[in-house]
Amino acid sequence: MNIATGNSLSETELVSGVIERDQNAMRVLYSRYAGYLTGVCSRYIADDSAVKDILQDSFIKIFHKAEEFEYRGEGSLKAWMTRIVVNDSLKQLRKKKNLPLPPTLANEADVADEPWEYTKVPVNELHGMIRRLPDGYRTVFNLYAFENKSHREIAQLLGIKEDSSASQLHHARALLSRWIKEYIHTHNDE
Amino acid sequence: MSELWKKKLQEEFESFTVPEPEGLWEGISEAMGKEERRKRILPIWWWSGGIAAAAAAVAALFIVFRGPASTLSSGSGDQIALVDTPTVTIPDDSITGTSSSSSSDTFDSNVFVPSSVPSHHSVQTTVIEEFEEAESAVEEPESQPVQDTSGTPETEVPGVDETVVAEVPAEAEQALDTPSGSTGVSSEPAVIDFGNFNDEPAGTKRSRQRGITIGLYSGGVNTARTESYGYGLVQSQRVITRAAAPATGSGDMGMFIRMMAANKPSTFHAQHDVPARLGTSLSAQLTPVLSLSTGINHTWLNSTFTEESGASSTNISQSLKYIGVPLQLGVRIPRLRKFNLYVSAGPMLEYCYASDAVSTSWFGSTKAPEEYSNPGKGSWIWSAGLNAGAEYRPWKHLGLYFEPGVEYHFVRESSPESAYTAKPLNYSFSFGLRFHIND
Repeated sequence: MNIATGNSLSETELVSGVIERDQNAMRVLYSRYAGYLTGVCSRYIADDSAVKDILQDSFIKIFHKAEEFEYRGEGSLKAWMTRIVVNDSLKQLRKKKNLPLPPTLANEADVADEPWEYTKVPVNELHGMIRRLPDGYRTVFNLYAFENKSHREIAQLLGIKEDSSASQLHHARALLSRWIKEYIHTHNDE
Repeated sequence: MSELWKKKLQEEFESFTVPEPEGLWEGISEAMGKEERRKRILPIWWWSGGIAAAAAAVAALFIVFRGPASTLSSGSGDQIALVDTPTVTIPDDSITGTSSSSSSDTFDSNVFVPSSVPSHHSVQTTVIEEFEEAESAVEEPESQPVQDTSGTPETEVPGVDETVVAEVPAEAEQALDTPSGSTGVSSEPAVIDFGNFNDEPAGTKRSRQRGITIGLYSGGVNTARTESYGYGLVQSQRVITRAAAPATGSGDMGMFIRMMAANKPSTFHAQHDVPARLGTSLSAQLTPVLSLSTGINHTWLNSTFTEESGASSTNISQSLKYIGVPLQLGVRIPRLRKFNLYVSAGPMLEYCYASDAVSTSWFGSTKAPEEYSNPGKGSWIWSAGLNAGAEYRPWKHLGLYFEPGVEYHFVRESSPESAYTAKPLNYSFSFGLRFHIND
């Protein structure tokens, strides 16, 4: 099996190969999902060197625990791997204990509830904006927006109050909204 | 509308990729390669058993075929390590160390509902353990049912307290550590699917010290010494004459040697080689602290006796072989990570099943025919030993140990002259390998 032919393998076939420690299967799995998982991890972790370390640990864990994966339909392998990466990212963030205090926004109330014009912003720009958020805002935003966590769940995960989680999300969205507007304004002028 | 932005954001990022960090795959494959190589190695206990058996065989061959007069005595009774015996597993010692499980995080994978999976799926995936140490064994908590959070409304809290994500309160930490019950936090089971963030998750097991240890060991009593007697002896009491040389027989030569050793004539020298011992042992852990061990061992005692008188001389080479059965009670001092410290004491009964002595006499330039005897054959000897040991366990089933001690032999009148009788109280030390079966 090589990467070219391996790309046609189903998720279950890939997992079977990984369980059998087929190097090619591991390579195919890595090639297929590394880019996506890097995007997921880098949404949580701003430091690129830490992203690499976390991804390495996550992939090793994925390969070792492949026999524990239970296929639940198309996309379940991707979801399972994403969960591992997110968990490892959160553990990395948890080590910081005191997440940095986000900046105070001026006229925050004016931007807080603006609808997003995110469709006018390339996704890679959006990704960059999310990475620019302070750790606290970014973590809550990712958990809420991408992992579908409630504020209660986020509060339990991060050891904060529920209303604090809501506040962080509010601030994160306000910041992103402002940056999106600035981006649109800048590129419209061009 | 409040959830629409989330859904569309997730759709935007569904296929979004970022170039992976440079060298990521190389790091992964290298780490996987190391792990595979480690797993391909035979179980440690195979290696330790093989090494122990090989070492015991080599030591036995060396000791058996080196001859009774080929060893050197210490000359001063100092403690000399049994350097001619290679690595050996040490007996028992029921001091099996505690194998502690490494910490690992667990998380309930069931709660996570990825946006790409229909919400009606019952995602009962298994709990995933964090792979931190190869030796760890962590129980996995049972899976938890999925909670569909897609309908949770967004909470708008304008003007709320500006508390930011700061340090984790102690209560929250405790809550994450023990999802089933904590202070000040909902006692609902693990809706949390991102782990406990704790270093020692619930379910970590620690094995009890109830193992059985089997070992092969080599060691011995360090009593090698040369005795030179400086006393004078009345000529008439001397028995070292050719005429009085013992005839070939089973006991005469032994009696002759004992007489010389007892009288200590100035012309008599006794040289005792370092006793060599090989054995097997079996120990059982009675309690986490106490252990009982027994086994069987074989001891070689080689000595050379020389008597010189004028132009005549007699040289006797003696080799004694004992089979011994020890019984020891061990007390383990609380384990320090991978180190075990312990003390053990108990008796041992040894039986001399074989004895060979060859006497060679010279009268001037004339050599008399060699005479053979079996002094001490069939005799018994009791001893009591006290040891203190330290064992380092780099792996779960293998230990490296160092064990100094003292040993006292209760000699009797009928006991053949040997290192045991020359110095009943001896220091000893041994080192080697020990492996633990079910610890």
